[in-house]
Amino acid sequence: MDDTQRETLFLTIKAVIDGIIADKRENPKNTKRLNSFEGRINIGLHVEEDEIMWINLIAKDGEYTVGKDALEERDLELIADPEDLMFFCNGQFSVMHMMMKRNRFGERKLRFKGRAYGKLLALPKILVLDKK
Amino acid sequence: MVKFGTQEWAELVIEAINSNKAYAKAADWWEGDFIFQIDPFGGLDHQIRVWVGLYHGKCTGAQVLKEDEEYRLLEKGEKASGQPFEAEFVYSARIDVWEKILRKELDPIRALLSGQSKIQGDMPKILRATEAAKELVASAATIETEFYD
Repeated sequence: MDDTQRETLFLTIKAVIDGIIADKRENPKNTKRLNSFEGRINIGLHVEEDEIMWINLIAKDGEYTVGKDALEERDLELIADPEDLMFFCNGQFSVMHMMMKRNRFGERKLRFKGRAYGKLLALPKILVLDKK
Repeated sequence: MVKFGTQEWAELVIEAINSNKAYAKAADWWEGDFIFQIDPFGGLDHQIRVWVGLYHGKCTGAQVLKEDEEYRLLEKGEKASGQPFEAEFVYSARIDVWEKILRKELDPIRALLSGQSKIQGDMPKILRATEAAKELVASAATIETEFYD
């Protein structure tokens, strides 16, 4: 993966996350949860067998910011193939599927580090599109 | 064999989409036209843009834009005015990436999530239509296409 592709992928994933948050904000039932969730999350995009591209998501005071690279201080660290992550975000892959099934590199589709289990369990409510 | 990105190819795309029952089923709720943008590389020395009209599982038309013709990307929720050329989405990639996609060597979603292609438009809407997107490309892949060597 070259630098142009990395930049394009970052912009695509940022558009996915920003789009999901904006879409969820259209439903008033999500407002309280979106405003109260706080966290610093490193997301490793497993793009090639031996390459992980790091991005981060910071949720604070109801604002969600997607940035490049990994944060030094984080609550959670997730690693997933970007395609699996997208199918998780659109609701096609459940949390259980992501935790149990293997990806194209033979790793679990979702790997995580960190002890913020509450934030991990809350993630589907933040990052998975509502059904319409 | 028809040359990729020509009006003749675009006409075959309409037929291919409209005879794909899996697309009709996956996209029966879909309303939103596309611009497919093919960026130059290798044997292709100019950009090609193809407008494709899509409505409830059917293709309503496909038109190759002339060099001086512009398109307008609609805002989220904005209805098309009926003027050419308006689209809700722009999917763009280099010609060599398009070739891999249409030869079924690369999935269009994987192309997007490996940074080889880009999409502009309402992302949640497209996330809800990944199966339709795959079938749309599968339709075009049935056309015997000549590329730009």
